[in-house]
Amino acid sequence: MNVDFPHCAAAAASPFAEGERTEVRGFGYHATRANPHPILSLEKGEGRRRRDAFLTDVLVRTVGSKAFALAVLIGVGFCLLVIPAFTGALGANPAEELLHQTGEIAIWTLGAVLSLSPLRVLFPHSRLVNALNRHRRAIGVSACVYGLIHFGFHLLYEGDAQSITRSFSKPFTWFGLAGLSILVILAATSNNFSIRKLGGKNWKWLHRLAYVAAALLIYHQTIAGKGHWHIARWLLFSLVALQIARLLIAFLRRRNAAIVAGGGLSAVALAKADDPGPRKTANQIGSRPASSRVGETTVACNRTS
Amino acid sequence: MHPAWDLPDCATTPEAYYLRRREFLRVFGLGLAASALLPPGIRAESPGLNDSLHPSYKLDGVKLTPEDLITSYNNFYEWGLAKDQPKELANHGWKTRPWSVEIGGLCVNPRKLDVDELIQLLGPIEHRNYRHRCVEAWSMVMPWDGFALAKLVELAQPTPDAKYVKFTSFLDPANCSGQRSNEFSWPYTEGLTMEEAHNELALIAVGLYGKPLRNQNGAPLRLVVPWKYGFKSAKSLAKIDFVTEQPRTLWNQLAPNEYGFYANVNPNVDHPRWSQKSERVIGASFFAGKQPTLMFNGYEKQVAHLYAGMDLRKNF
Repeated sequence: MNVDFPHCAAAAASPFAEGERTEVRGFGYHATRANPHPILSLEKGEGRRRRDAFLTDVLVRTVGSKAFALAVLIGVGFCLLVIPAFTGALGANPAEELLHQTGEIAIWTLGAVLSLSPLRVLFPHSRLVNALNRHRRAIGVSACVYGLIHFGFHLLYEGDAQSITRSFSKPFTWFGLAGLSILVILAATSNNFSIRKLGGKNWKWLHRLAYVAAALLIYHQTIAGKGHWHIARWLLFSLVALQIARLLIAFLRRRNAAIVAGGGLSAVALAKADDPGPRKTANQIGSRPASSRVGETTVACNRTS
Repeated sequence: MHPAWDLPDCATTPEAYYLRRREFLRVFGLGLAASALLPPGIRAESPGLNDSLHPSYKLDGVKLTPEDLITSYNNFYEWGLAKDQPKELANHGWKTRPWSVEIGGLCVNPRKLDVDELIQLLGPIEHRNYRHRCVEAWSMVMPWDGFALAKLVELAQPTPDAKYVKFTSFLDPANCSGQRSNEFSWPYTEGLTMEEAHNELALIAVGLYGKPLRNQNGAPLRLVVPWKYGFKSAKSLAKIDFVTEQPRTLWNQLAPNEYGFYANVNPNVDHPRWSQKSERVIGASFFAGKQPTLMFNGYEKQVAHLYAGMDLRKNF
């Protein structure tokens, strides 16, 4: 029985009979241990904790909702392309500006979707990260859509058939097209039917091509203009740093799990450590009251020595 | 006879401000009105801008790029990579007057003098409409005010050893945000051969649209070589040297396979990443597409002889 938060204890687990009086009373409300007063029974600071928990809940639910994801993904394009187009904020060369903006949006969106997996490994218990991870498909498909719009603006920018043909003779264009082709394939197979048809494992391998696309497209971005490397490097460095951190964490978890499992590298421990899903640890400080985790198994694989 | 480099003024759709200026000049007298717009140095010596519209200007329908586009779309990496940054950042405490210019190297008359003194020495100010073709495949038509580079060369009297002119821009990392990073080897440097420097087209510009150069356009004085890609026309010059060796230039040093020393506008030699066959005209309609790029940016008659017998594919 959790004495800190009696109101949260599961009713079934209560040793008190229904209706039994306690010393907590107020405003004609007869509180029992099983049915405690909602305010008077609170410990000091619990109100704030509850409020924080509530706000976190709202945040996580908002971020995790489909409407939010759609609003952000479409809103980016609306704010950076549509509004400037109608307010004249695209500058002296709107065709070039639209071309560059769509390219930038596409590659940073791709960067966003590629940072989700490492973030989930690094912060397996963050509800925000998990909420964001619900939008992997939407973000990935958006990267492809913005990439296609970028390609459309390229055609418009070049203007005539001869210029377009000539642009296709440049390795600079090939890198962009190769990356975009991969994104199109991945977007086309971003549905449950494709996952079933290909089988989870094949599908996963296919979708690892996203990293190849990112490499091609970051190179494409780098050589797109004088000094563009100084923009592209921030994307490249952050993605590489996230991947290194992810591999390192996975390696450490695997090793610790192996030690817990009995000093040697057992297959079971490896399999467990490989699991990217959320793992609960004994020292976890969640946003929910501790008692709500009663009954959850805790695997302290990275705490014990 | 009017010089061949002059393009017609606003034959089709004139720039509004430009026309207003003309009316103003006509009403109040050319010299007086023009001098009111100019800095003291120009005012003292110059009789006013060469503002006459010669009948030969009406040859074709070339349209001047509106002033607000010329002053808001600038490749001036000292102030950032984006083209809208120089307008903002170059006008935040960066002083382009007083400005001293050093003329040195292999010449009889090396000197260091204030830019306004130099303008007094080399005036009067001429007005020339030039095509401007950026290596990034966009173009403008700019009404420059300035004087022939040849005049400056004459003033300095280079010795026979001098084979090149080296142009060095300012170095002021304290005031200039872009120069505080080590991404480029500041200061900006460019160069011309002696023959190129003597060519009638090579201009030292001190004004644009009849007004002193804005900071973002390379105040207080800059090189303008319209038959070459825009990056050759170095901005905000601090030093002009006469040298024997071909000077190292910023873009050539950074990407020798993309930006050659000559950098002549040539539709037949592509940039490694894009075609140079055509160019997007700044200020034209969004759906206008591109217009064909001309050999030597349309100045073949004036400059082709400089490169006679040269393999332009190799010497791009």
